[in-house]
Parts: sequence; C-alpha cells; structure tokens
Amino acid sequence: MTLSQRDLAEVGVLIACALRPKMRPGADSDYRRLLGRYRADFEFRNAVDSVLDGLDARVLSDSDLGLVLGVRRESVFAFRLSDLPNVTGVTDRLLVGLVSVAITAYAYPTPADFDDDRVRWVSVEEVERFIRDACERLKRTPTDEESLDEAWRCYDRLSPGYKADRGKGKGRRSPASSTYWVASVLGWMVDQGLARPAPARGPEAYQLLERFRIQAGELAGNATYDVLAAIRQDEVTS
Amino acid sequence: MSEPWPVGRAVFDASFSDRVRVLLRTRPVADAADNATRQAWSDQGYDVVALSLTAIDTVIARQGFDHEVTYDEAITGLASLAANTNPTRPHDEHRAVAGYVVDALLNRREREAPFSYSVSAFTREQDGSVRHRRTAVEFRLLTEHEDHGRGVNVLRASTDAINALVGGLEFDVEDEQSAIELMLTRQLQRGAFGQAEKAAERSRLLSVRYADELRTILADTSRDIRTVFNQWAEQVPAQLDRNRVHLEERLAGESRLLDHVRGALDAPDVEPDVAAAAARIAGLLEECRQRHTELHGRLVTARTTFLDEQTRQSFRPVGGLRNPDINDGVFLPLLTMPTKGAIEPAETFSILLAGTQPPKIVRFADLVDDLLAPRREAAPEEPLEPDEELGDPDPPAVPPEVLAAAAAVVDGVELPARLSDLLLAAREASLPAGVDRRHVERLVVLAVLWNYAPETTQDVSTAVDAAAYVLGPTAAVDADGVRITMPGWSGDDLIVAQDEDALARWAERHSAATPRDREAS
Repeated sequence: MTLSQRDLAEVGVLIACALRPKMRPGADSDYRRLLGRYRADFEFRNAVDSVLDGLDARVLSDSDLGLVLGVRRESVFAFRLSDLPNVTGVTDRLLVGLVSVAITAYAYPTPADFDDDRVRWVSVEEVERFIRDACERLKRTPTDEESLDEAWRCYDRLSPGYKADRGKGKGRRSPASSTYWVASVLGWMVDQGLARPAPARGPEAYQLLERFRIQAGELAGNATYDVLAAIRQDEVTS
Repeated sequence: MSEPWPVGRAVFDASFSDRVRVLLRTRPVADAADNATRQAWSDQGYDVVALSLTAIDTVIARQGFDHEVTYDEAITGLASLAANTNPTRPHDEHRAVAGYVVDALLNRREREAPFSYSVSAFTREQDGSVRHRRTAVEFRLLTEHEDHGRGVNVLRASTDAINALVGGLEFDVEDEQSAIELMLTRQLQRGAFGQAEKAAERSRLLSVRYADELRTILADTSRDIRTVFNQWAEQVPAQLDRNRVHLEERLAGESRLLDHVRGALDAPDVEPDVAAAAARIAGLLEECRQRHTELHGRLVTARTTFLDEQTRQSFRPVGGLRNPDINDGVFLPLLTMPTKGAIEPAETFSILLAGTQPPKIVRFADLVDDLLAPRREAAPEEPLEPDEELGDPDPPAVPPEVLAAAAAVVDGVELPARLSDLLLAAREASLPAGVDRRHVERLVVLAVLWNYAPETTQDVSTAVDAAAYVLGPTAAVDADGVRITMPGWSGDDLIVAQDEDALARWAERHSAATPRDREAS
C-alpha cells in the first residue's frame, strides 16, 4: 500500500499539530486520531519522520502528550534567541543559555532524575540563588592564572535586585539584574510549552512540564555535551 | 561465640533490617502528626494520621485508571472529611488541614525530596565483635505527575506507600491473593461478613500494587530497553505467563465470589447488617474485577510493547539513550569556560530545549493593522498594589446621632409647618450630649432642601435617604415666596408637610392670608 495524496495531507496536519507545543491530543480529536495512526501505521510513521527529517527536525516522543519534536540548530523551526526581548548582544545570548542550563541542572541534578516523571517546581528566587551559589563557589576556587573572562562572571556581575528607578521601566526589573534574566527565561519557557506558572506555589513559581523533561533529557543535554566535547577536542589538537 | 548476648540474636538476622525499613515507612505520617502541633489549627482535634491514610487510600483508589486523583480533588475530599471533625470551624481551615496532610505526604517542605532516614545496620564479624554501619533509607509516599491526556497534575502513591498501607507484605503477591480469596470464601460460608469485608479491602489494595509492578516494568521497557533486557530474557516472560493465568483465575474467582455474596443478599431471612456488609463487599469485588480486567488488557499488550520498543530503540542513536548529566557535564563546565567559547554551547542548549517555533510570516494587511493600532501598554511585570480605595466604604458624612436628633426635632413639630418653625424647634430642643446644635439645624435645612429640589449633579440616593429619614418617607415640601427671617439663614421659608394632600390643604387655608401675615410680623 502506498500513501495517497490524502494521506500525505494528513502527514502535514499531524506535523502542524506537533509544531504547536500547547496543543494536546486529549483535547483535539483529529490530533488524537493522527497520533494513533503515527503509532500504529508503519508507512505513515515513516512518511512523517521523513518529512520532518527534511525540515531538520525529528520526533523525540510520541506519548499521549503528543508528538514532541526536536530540531537541529539549522532548522527553520529552530528558536532564535534574538527574538527574546532585550536579547541583542552575545552576552545576552550567553545569559539565556546559562540560565536555561541552570534551570535544568537545578531541577534534574543527576542523570537518573530524567527517568523520574514526577513534577518539578522552580521559582525565580530558587534559580537565582542556585546560580549565585555556583558563582560563589567558583569565586573561592583558586585559579592559577587570573582569568576575568570566564562565563560565570557575566552572571556574577549582574545585581540580583536591581530595578530602574526612573523612566518608563520604573519599578520594574531591569535587564541589568540577574532576576530579570531568570524571569525572562522562565517566561519564555511558558510560551514554548515547557513550563507553566504555579501561582499557588508562591510568587514567580513555575512547574516544569513533561515536555521540558523530554527536550532536555532526550536532546538538548546530549547535543550540548557533543558541542562541548568538540570544543575540548579542538583545544587539545590546536 | 557461646557467651550470652545482652540483646537478642534477631538483630543480626537478615530480616531485621527489612523490619526496620517497614517500620520507617510510617515515620512521615507520624512526623506530620507531630508537626501539626505547630499549626494554627493544632488544638482543633483533627486526626492527621487518619487523614493521611485516607489520602493514600483516595489516591490508590483511582491509580492506574484514566482519571487519576488530582491534587485539588484530594484536598477537596480530605477537607470534607475534616469538616466532619469540626463542622463549626471555617471551610478554609478544613482546606488548610487537608493541604497540610497532602503536602506532608508529598514532602513539599523539602521540595518533594524523598523522605530520608538513617538506620543502623549491625553485623557480627568472624571474631565475634559487632560492627555497626549507618545507612540511609530513602523513599517517597506520594508523587505528583503530569497527566499527559488532560495536562493536569495527578497524584500517585509509591510502592512504599501501598506496601506500608497493606501492612508491609513483603511476599509474593499472587500467593497472598490466593490466600485472601480462600479466606473470603470460608468467611462468607461461615457468615463472618465483617472479616470478609476486611479481606476484600486488602484484596483490592493488592491488585493496585500488582498493577504498579507491571507499570514499572513496562515503563522501564519503553524508556530504555537495555536496562531491563536481562529481565525480559529470563524472568519477565515467565512472570507474564504466570500473571496471565493468575489473572484469569482471579477474574473467574472474583465473579464466583460476587455470585456468592449476591446469593447471600438474596437469601430470604438475611440480617440487615449482614446484608449491608455483603452489599459493600459486592461493591469492592466489583471494583477489584474492574481493576483486574484493566490489568489483563495491559498484560496482553505487554509482549507487543517489548517488541515494539525493541524495534524502535534499536534504531535510536546510542547518544540519545543515555541520560545527560546536566550539572557536572554541562552546567559547571560552561560556567568555567571563557565567555567567547561558552556562547556556542549555551545557545545550543537553549535552542534545542525550546523545541519548535514556526517562523512568523508577516502578512501585509496585518502589518498595516498593527502599525495603525494604538500603542499597547506593556503589562506590568509585578502585580500592582491592591487598590485601597476598594476597601471599606467611606464613613457616612452625617453621624447617626445627628440624624436621630434631627428626626426627633421634626417629630416634635406638628406638620405642616414652616422651615423657620422647624429651626426654632431645633434651637430649643434638648439634644443628647455630644451632638452639635448647628449640625442638627444644618441637617434639617438640608433635608428640606433635598426634598424640595434634589441635587441631580451628584449621587442623590444617600441625600434622599437622609431626607426621608428626617422628614418622613412621604413628606412633601413647597415654596410660596415667603422669605425666611431666621438670623443665619436666607432664601424661601419652605413649607414642610407630612404628605402631598396635607400640603395641598395647607396651601388652600393659607393661600391668601398667610403671606401678608408673615410680612406684617
């Protein structure tokens, strides 16, 4: 049996559903039916996977949560950090990256934690304290050469509570404060369907969703490993 | 070796540490009851232990089904139970108690970390000396999970919690269940329904534990088949076969028991309490059977799950199977890298974590609309201070004493009357202490004025109310051109009557004579 044009249209519908992280198969009967077809129909599944491969994306998980897609950096669907507010220079992008890694490290400290699907909670304050503590430890660690260019200093230079005292942003967190970046990254994660606010748990508390566990555990963590390993390799050979 | 030990030898038995572990499973509940003395409601007599066990029971009752118990449902259920303890206390307190109990079982105080207790392990060396080791026992009771279908958080009881509740039954589930069935049959034959009910209850809890064991192995399989490969090669197929046969027996057995219980119900001279117990048991058995049926379905697909996962995972890149060590492998190396080098990996992590973002394509029409739209105010990042003006309403402008005094003055004058008469009366009236005479006069004048010509530019309802209170609800006021002569006041000397008719009669009587009289005087 080969796939008809109609089937190929359904491939498109399923991918369109998967591209919307907040859409749930539980709430959408078409999505549910196509997800079931993806799981059961080998040919259909192959077609979806091949189309995604052409788009530099792949399926990370096909649970009841829906089709969770991972992208390669060059994909058209890859997120551009410069789309985030106040992200202009390289330092800003580094901060967003550092904070994302820190949130993951805080919620999933060991490899085994990715196997446990119980709910994780974070708050802006906890994450800020977590990174701050790591910076303090590094400050105390003696280094043989005085290097002022380490990545953690970017974060350490930010004040935790700085707020603009005049102008339009008065009383709001300024991008010169570390909590601004933590709150901004968590807010972005909410937009991407990775987290949701949990006001009942205290101010600026968030619940990390199942999607977060999948993206970090199945894709982002290992891919970053590889990038780091490649950099180390370059250092050794050069 | 032969010298007598001051303590029993049991402490060195292999089963001893198991017993200690079992005992520890109840510690969190006991601790929760202990810590409850620091809560505001501590002296209201809520039984934290009973509520804790109820919470675990509630969770177990729906665990593994489609709609597992959510956090809020658990709270609502427990709160209604707590309400029975202390019906007179506010509902918020009941919810607080329920929240406290569930949070304690989740160990929210320590960010859902497992309960951890250190225990002593004693071993006897070859030379007869005793060695002491300290080990940590860690376990959870309740955990929160995301329900994939509904997107809400649901509670699940851990194996530890199920075991602790069933009573630390560390032996084979299947034998235990056969034993219970046997016991049930005998008890029903002998008519000992009270005990039979307890046994049925335990049978249900065992079914839950059974389901949990199966769920774990299937979850491990779909996560990383290599971790359970040996189990699948040796134990699991045999276990599945055994389970399937066993389940079939259970299903048959339970429907037989159900018939039996129903038979007892249908008997002509059944005693009421026996009938009630039998009905409850029938309900329980029905639920057991439902659980077994569901389990059976899961069992039937278990082998297919294995094969599917094998196919799926064999083509998965090996790197993807390994869970990353974010803390030591990514976070700390990143922090210590030079800024320039760290950007690339840090950005990679964020971008890959983000998942997908469909590129935004600008439609010309939308762009024009957006450009023409009024500028949106950015949402404030922090909630505004609560508006204090929304609090208590303003205190009344006229104190109630003055209002009462003014009403008394008007009561003391026979209506219809001139405003000047009312003011005279106010001047002569004996007022209660602390009431300013000028305020009373002013209020009388204002009440008459409001009645005559209500101010429409302001909110008149309070003014009209005050006027009605002072003059009476049906009072009518009119002017006939006579000027007031009281010192301190000017304008028309208004006529106040108890109602419209009285005003009309008064006008008839005074139409010609009065103005002149007044002017002469």
